[in-house]
Amino acid sequence: MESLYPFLYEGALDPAKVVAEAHRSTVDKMREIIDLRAEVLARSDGLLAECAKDLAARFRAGGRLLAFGNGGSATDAADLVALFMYQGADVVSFPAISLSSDVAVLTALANDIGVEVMFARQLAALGKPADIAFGLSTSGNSENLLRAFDQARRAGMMTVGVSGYDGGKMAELESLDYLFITPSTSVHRIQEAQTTIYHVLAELVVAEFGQSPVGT
Amino acid sequence: MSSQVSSSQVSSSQVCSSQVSARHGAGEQVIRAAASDVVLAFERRLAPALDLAEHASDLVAAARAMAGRFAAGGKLIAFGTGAASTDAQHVAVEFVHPVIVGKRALPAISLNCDVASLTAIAADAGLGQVFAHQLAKLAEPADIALGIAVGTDRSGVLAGLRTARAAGLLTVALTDARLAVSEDGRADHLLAVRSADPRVVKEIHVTIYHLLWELVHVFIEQAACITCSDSAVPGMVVALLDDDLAVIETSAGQEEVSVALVAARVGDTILVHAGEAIAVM
Repeated sequence: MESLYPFLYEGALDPAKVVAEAHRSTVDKMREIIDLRAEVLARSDGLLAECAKDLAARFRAGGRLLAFGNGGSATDAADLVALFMYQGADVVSFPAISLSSDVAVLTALANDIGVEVMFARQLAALGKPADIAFGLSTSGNSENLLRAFDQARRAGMMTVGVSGYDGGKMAELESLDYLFITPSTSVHRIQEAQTTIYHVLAELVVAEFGQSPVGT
Repeated sequence: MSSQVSSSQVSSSQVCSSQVSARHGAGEQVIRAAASDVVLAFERRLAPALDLAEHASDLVAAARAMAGRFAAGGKLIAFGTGAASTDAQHVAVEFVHPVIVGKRALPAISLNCDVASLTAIAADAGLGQVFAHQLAKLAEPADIALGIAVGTDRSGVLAGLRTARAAGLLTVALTDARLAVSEDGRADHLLAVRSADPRVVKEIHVTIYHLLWELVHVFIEQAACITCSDSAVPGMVVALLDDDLAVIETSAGQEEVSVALVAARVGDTILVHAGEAIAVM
């Protein structure tokens, strides 16, 4: 924090200067996320289009999307599931389940075995070959995601991963069909760009079914 | 934090080979045509982000007010409908379990996590009453109500903000352009994203609450925190308060800290970092 706000740590407490420094930093962060989205587009535009076609094909074949993540990424998994399940009465919808939203199963697994088996165990119980496993991680190193993708691959599912930094251990997995990387060193900017990635994927899937998503 | 990562460090060989080969296969023409949709999708994100940068002073003002409430012992209560319910949960985890090591935990809850109460209230009184009822039970005057409302499904969030404001809470609303135009004045701080696309609005909201979290810590540390430097600070306990809090005397003055993790008594010297006692010396 000190390196981000050097002025603030020099000792003098002038409220007006603190506010000015906060303002400058806020504008800088907005520029960072704008630049990061541009970088994600530059490196992943074709991959996003291709992945959306595969997702649509899976849904056409009766597949379901099973999404998972830890912490803030758990809320992204829930958001993605809600996007597919219901965007309004006139928008095409698809079956999707947020594995990280089932508090009873998650706490049971964490308590009885350990957090590393959370999503893999759920996929072993729920996953079918036609399904899609969609996992999000800011680090790309979460053990429970790595195990989940391997389990999904064994079950014949399509696998999609989203990670930050340089991709982490997820970039070394052989069990991922698609990996989208948001190359930043800020966990917050990574999450913001990851949100755009899965939102755009959801938009493209709806477009594959000949519809425009709400609001576009 | 790891060192800066350049895009060149991530070679295409780290991405599954099936994707790479498919891009050069028979479907390349189709993929290229579809890719323009991707470009358009990203372009739609630009103007609302630039607009937020222009309104950064609104965000700073909200963060400063929130820091004041936390410093006064308040907690953050977040709520939203639909996709925004996931943001309410995300905000709560940001404050309770910061991603930056050493930042103190601040009290925050999401009303959306209590599915039993939510569905019980919704079944009896309607979805529009759930947050208002939960706030009536859980809110204290020093608290902050953070309501997130996007699109048309917002009656419950607005009712919650009204209840919170009447109870003396600081109210912060994260909304879209439509709400900003039609409902202004129902929150102390209104942070509206100028977009009609609910997904774009959500993406900017994520940046907004990440920055709110960061700035709250900046303002709190500027205001009072003696124990928020790089190393832990020793202090003598001069009083034990409710809720596992204590007042300590340090070489730089007195500070209220959490003693939830240690068994501290008055007269003990404790080691404190970022407002949390970590050891009795």
